[in-house]
Amino acid sequence: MKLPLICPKKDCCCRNAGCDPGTELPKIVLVGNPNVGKSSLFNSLSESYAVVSNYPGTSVEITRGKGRIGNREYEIIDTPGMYSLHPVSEEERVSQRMLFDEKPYVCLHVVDARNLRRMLPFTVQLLEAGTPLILVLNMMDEAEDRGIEIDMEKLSRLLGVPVVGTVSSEGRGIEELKTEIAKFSPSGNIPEIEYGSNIDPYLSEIESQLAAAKEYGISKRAFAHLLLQEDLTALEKVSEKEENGSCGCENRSFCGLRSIVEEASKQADSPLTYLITLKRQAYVNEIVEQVMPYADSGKTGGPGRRKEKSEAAARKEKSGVKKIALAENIDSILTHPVLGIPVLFLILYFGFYRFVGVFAAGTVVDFLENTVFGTHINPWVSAQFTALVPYPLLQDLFVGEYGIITQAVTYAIALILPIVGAFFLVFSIIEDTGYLPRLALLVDGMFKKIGLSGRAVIPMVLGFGCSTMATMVTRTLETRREKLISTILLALAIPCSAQLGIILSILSGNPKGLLIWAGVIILEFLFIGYLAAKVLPGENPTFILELPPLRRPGLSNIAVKTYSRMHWYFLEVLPLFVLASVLIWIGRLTGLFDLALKAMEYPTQWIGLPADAATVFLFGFFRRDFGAAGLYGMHDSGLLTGVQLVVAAVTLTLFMPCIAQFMMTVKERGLKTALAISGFIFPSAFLVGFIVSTLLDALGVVL
Amino acid sequence: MKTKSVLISPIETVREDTGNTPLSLMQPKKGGKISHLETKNPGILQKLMAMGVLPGMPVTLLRRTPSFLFEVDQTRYAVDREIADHIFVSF
Repeated sequence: MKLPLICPKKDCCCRNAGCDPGTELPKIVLVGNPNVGKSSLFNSLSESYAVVSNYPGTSVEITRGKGRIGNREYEIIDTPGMYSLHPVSEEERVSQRMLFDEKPYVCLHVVDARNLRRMLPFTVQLLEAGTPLILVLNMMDEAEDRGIEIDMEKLSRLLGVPVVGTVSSEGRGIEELKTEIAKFSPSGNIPEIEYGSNIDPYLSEIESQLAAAKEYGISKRAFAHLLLQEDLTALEKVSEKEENGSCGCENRSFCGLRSIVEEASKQADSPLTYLITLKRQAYVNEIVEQVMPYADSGKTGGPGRRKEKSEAAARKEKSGVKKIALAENIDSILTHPVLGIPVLFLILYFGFYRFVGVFAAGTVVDFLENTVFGTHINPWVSAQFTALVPYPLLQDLFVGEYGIITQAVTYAIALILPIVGAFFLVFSIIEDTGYLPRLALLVDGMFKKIGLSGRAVIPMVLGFGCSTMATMVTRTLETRREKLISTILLALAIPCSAQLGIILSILSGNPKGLLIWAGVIILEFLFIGYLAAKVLPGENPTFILELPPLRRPGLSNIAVKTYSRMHWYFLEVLPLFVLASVLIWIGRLTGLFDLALKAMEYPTQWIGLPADAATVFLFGFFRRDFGAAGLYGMHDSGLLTGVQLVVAAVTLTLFMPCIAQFMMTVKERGLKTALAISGFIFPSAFLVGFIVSTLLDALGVVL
Repeated sequence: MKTKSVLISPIETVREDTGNTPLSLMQPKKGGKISHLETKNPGILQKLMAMGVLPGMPVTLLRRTPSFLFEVDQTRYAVDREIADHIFVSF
């Protein structure tokens, strides 16, 4: 197995000198609907790795990498999925702008071969825009399973572009695709579609008023289409030009354009987008009928028509039918309004509680922390270091109570790594089966009560892995209100993997305590969500989500994904843990550490914990998982009672987001929002801790 | 909060006699063809069209609860009631 380059060159880091994958390289841009396998194809073409999962919206950022095809080097660009050139959501617009602004050598339009009829309108749009194009029919295996046969030669002739069939997860068709890329030359074929008297005259009029085509990055006709449908990016482009004042008459022409659009909308009896889309679909239907003679036979055709199929295809279809029937049966359980719930709990119990909490965070961590590091590595390193470096000051920094080796490295390797590793493993499996969209369908009704659509369950679940990552994924949500509510909930109530693993492990011997902890967190999640939905202006979001088929996760993708996430997490966590050790060391030298500790002792004692527990929260300021690691240490030495453990676990779960998540919140929602969220969280965490502690005390609960 | 009477515009009322009903009123496991989309809400309309839910496509409703689950061609979609109110089906 080829191990990937871990940090694919994201747009953000590519501004740094030396990280530029070379602007002069010819660009291969992957575009297409969500969840058709763009990232998977990207991984086969480039030397980088983009995360591949089975739910729409896995990629929320543009990923760039280099790849060698034939004897030429290319820059390969993976884009977030989009449904058409006229985008609805924010992450689609990222891809749209990319198409406008980059001048690709070739654009690979990746489509799901099962769904030609639904996918080709976008291909036609791209052709109308004058994009140099290769059409990639991906997931050919699944199409064959469904008895779908496509005459690719004919399709290629009708569209005037190369067509390649692939199965990107198995690497099928990749060589063929590479050959096509190497010998590619743009055909310049632009489909001529008649849009009718409500559209065509206005299109021509807009076209004639537009400046030279080059300035827009796409053909004038396609740009006119976008303007007619009042596309935001297109409007921006026109008004941008106006502000630049590159031409004196621009101003008037912008108003002129607007009035044409208004006139056109007035004349038509339905929205223009509707009319245009229907015409384009009719054009596509004609093509599909010619290249897929059996298009409907799987469902409606009689046995007579089946005979015409080739034998090989029929055999494939036969084995496919069985596979599909099995997936159908599982699917109907997962999405069942009653049966779906116990299935969810089974997944939570075995996947997270037994495997991550008890096995990884319990058994494995115990072995690594106490046996490997506790009795072997650390004493040996301490002895060596003390012998080599006779300065107590430095000894303290490296091998003291909060030392770089004895604390930072030990925490990172023995505690955090096994837990997040186990977590990401379970996650990868869940992601690749396609369970997340089913979960979204299941919880939509409940999520509406807290101002979210079922779709928001995806970032919420991802938040259990890493809230920083999840905060970025909130981009896939539609309204600003929904994004804000989910960001708040992620910062407030969703514990990240390391934290959750440690808490599960600490409370695993204490089922009642675990239930109280889970109950309090869920209540707080619902309560704050409900409040936010009440307080924030705006309407409830609507829910629409494509359900990909259930798939059996591939071993190699799971391994690579888990490995790359663990690697990323470790690299992120280790320097921060080391930094924490250094800061604590400086703090203790100057007395600031004790001062801060003294200050933290007040709220700590207020929620009924011993003064020593203040360190946990002080660590928690730095990172939540660091705080949890501290809590693990206290629990190990038996310093806390059952009730105190629950209170500490609750408070820490609700505690401040880590620095990385804070920065991501700033990036996605702005500094003011990020500060407001944090300002609310600190007191509220202690308040809830106080309430729980007081209640448990008053009720005389002993855990 | 929108009520259903607002969502179904006067022009496009439910015409049971011609079998032209919104998806939200269909029985599960029943199939038909999408006849048209309610066009008063541009956001929802654009979304549905972009995702390939278009007039003329065959449609089968699979589930009404916990959300509306339906199949168009080879693709499955999960939507809430509000969206299901926007899709009209003829038999």
